[in-house]
Amino acid sequence: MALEFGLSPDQESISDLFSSFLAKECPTEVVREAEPLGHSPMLWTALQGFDAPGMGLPVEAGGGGAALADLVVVAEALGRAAAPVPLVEHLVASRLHPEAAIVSGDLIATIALHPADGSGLWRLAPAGAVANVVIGIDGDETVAVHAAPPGVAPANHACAPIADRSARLGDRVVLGPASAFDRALAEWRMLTASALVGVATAALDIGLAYVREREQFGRTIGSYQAIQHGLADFPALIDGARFLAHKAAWAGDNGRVGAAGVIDMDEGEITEHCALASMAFLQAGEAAAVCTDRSLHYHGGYGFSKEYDIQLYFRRARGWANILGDPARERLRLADMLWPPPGSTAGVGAGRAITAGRA
Amino acid sequence: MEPELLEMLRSSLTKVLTERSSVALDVRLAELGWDDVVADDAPSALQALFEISGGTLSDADPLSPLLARSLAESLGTPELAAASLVLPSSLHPDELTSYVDGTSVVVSGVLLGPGPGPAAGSGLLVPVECGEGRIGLAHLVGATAADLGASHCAAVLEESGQHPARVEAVVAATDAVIFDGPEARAAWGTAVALGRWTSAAELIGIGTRVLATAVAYAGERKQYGRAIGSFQALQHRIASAHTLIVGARHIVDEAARRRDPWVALVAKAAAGRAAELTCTQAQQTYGAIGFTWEHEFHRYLRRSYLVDRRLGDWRTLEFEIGSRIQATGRAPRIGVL
Amino acid sequence: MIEHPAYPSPTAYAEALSGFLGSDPRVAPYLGYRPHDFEGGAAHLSNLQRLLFDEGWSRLGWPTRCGGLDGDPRFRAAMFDALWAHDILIPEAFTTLEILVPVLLVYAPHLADALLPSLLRGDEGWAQAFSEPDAGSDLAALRTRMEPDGEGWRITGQKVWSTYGHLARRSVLLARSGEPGHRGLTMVLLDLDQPGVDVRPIRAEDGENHFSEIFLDGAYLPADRVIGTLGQGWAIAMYMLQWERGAWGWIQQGRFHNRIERALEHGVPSPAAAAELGRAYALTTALRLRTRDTVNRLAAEETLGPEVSIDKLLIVDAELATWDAIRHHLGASFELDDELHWLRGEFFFSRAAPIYGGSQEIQRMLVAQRVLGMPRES
Ligand SMILES: Cc1cc2nc3c(=O)[nH]c(=O)nc-3n(C[C@H](O)[C@H](O)[C@H](O)COP(=O)(O)OP(=O)(O)OC[C@H]3O[C@@H](n4cnc5c(N)ncnc54)[C@H](O)[C@@H]3O)c2cc1C
Repeated sequence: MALEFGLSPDQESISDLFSSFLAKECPTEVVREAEPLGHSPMLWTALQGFDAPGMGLPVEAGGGGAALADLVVVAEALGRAAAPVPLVEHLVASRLHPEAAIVSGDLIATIALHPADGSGLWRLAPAGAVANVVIGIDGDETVAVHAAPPGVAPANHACAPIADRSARLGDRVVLGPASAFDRALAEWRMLTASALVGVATAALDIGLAYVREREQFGRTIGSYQAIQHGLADFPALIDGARFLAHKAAWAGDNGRVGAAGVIDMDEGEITEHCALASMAFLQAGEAAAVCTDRSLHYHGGYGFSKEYDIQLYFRRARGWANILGDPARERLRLADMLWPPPGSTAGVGAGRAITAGRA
Repeated sequence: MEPELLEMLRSSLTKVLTERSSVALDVRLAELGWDDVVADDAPSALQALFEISGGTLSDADPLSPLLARSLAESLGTPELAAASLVLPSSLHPDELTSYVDGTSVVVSGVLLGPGPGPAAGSGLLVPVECGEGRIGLAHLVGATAADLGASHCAAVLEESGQHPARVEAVVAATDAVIFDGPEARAAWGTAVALGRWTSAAELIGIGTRVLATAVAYAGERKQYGRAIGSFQALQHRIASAHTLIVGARHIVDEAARRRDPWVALVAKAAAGRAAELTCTQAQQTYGAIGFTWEHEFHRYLRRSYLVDRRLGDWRTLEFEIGSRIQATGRAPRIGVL
Repeated sequence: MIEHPAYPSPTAYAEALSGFLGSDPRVAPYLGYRPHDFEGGAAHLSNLQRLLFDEGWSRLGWPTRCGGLDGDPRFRAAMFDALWAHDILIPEAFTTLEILVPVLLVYAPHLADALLPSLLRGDEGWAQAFSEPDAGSDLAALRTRMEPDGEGWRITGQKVWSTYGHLARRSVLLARSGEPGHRGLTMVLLDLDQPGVDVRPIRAEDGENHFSEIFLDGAYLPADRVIGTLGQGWAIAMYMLQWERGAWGWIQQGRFHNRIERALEHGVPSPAAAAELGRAYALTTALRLRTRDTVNRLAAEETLGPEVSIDKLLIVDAELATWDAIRHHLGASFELDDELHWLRGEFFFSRAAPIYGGSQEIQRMLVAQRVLGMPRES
């Protein structure tokens, strides 16, 4: 039985709003046209039209006052539409640096996932090819750098507008110590997880529709066990990932970050935002990979033709999950958070949870 | 070997390996003219022996005498041939669990089937770490398994037809002959390769038998008014297992012909994985009946676990293969046209 | 087996060929060559095909009557191995030859004698047009019609997924000449450069035109272009499958070995990826030894049965495992490194392994029912 997610009325209305907006403004032709860069300025402008870029900020800061619990719903809708806009990155960045032009979306902001390297470069920042403002770690500081985006990305099969950006050249503002950035990374993982849940869900929708329609040997191929059993695994994969992303959002909204959250592996209790975000990210990456892989397979030859939509999702499932680096490393990092190596006070995120579980 | 001859050999071997007898396997094999058969075509003969041993859950232990003989030959020391071999209990045979420590030999490992085995009184043969990771061999000349307090592993393992026993003991170095030169390492390497290839054959025997039984069961058992074997879900599971077994078997055949440590390593990894996945698919095919003590399935499952563990389980070996490919940047082509 | 007078064994031949590949300056443009697009790659590699033909290397393994130099198919297999060992891409045309030519030699010797020399030399390319929009796995449901017209025939219908189609001059094609079901099928060799034939490339997921749709509207087929006899199409297609699965599997294992080595030239080896790499290698080895056996049996002119589906399933296992391991090994640079565009493209193509040449589901069904004797669905 699939887990039931009672979306709150707020979440419900945000989900409806974005889904119907994207259904209208972002059919897959828009996704295709935006390739290879993976950015549609028109869609971005349309999102500005209903104040989406600033929605993640408090009303006092001129934003929409949405909670993380709302943003995961938005991210999932974006993923499901494979929307070629860097809204996930922008939402995260805007919460760190609520400058008016960022809140309005006139400037696109993003975050760099890895600290600047020796030459002062942020390597392959997501949305780096199109963002006017990049926020990231340089040395022991979190800084925001305003500079003109390059507008081109190295070829990558997710068609993600990634690019190297300088942490030094341009208008540079120090926002705080490096640790001020931890939360942004967790939020990025969580929202990217939701976007990947959206990708997996799209793979399910597209796959189901196809196997119900396609006939071979005088029957719809969806009537064959081989295909039914493969598809039957999808809901559990998708729900598991969605559940983790929502729980991470709940933890974040309720201040359960770092020491204020719980990681107790003996009791099996995890309510710490950063750990949950990492779990969601890994689970969603897996769900998106498996679901797009199988859905593509059930398309037979058609899965390999550019005309069919499943390939759009197949490519993004792998690309988005990989922007952070090797998932194996992310898994090890999570393991260190859940079972901290003896003597370490580490744990990534804004410090470690109070109950550390096994010593 | 001619196909008819091989068939004859297989049926005599099946008899020898399944009969209840207090006579040592070596002796019974000798009555078959085994030495001539091996001299004539060792690859086919040994492969048949081990495949049948796995496929019939034979409780004889052909492996330790084979390896002891190989070590004896490599070291030019005939008296080692009749000793009982204590295998390391580690995941990898190069990580030895027994070692020489100044004046004593600390033995920790597993004796395979001490049932009717090699002539008593020929001592135990133990691969040992001799300091700084050096691999050597200790011949505990006068020792017997009983002296060293060998204890049988859990009785459930015996259901698999195997009787491994743990040995944990400390023996004075003066009671042992220790080979610790480079020739000992080479001899152990040769024995490991031989053991891997033949164990891989045994795994193929297990997998083949388990698969055949599952196919037969799926053809008989009816649900929803049809044989369950007519459902795609089971057909596909079984076909994928068969594919793995066939693929692994090709590598085992090549290992038999080539006697190359690398090929033996790959063969054992492939056969171990094929046997395990085949057991998984077969168990699913049997439903609840396969979960009973009465059903033969669990014996094969246990046997496959034991044999897989021997001289490196498939996961460890896959890692070793991958690491070596990474280190050399080469993926050697096994098999010429 | 047919030995070749110049070489005592395929291995001896492969050694001689390796000497040539390693030393002849004309080979240089093909060593480590990475095409930028499908058409450019095909054009460049057809020069290689010509070179190998003119020097005699690719003629071994084919009978003299059709431009070959005799010797059995193992010589061709040895050539593929040597090419991969030198990091030379196998021209697509060679794989087409492996699949189509044996069929012509047996079922249409007159066409083989007349047309094969220029095909072997790469002066023209051919394609295979079986699949249709509504007849994929269920090939026997195909609808392209073949109707008598004077001495010859007119062909009308639509084909899809024809690899190399838009670059091909002719195509082997399966059409319906009679009753529904597999008995009404006939195999033919159709010229594509004629009115009534419209070939449109299909862009594949990696952005390249790997295959084509072929629209047929009364295309003309002379009487002597029928392969075998009317209604024999299905049986011939089954004969073709043993080559499609066995010989192709041999070519692919060479690719996988090569690609594992090439991938290791990039990125940093990590213990996390080692086991996956080990498994990929073991599966690739299984494929190599299995298809070596198949090639040997084909060389001995044995007829292979449904067990060739095992070859196909082993291709799928090895191909997916190899590319998964490579992607894992390369980490994010797999996605992001411009230089690795060609590896990415091949990765994408690997995802088609469980589909092309008969899907994994269908092969498993065949192995279960025809090899292991499990019951048919009632
Ligand atoms: C790279 C590539 C190259 C190709 N080259 C050629 C070529 O040169 N010439 C040519 O003629 N064709 C070619 N093909 C076509 C290929 O043969 C077909 O794609 C294949 O036979 C599957 O048909 P389909 O695509 O219509 O899938 P479908 O038959 O529609 O199958 C869709 C899905 O349903 C499953 N399915 C179908 N029937 C069953 C069943 N009974 N039980 C369980 N599952 C089932 C399939 O396994 C698949 O997952 C090529 C295909 C690819 C991908």
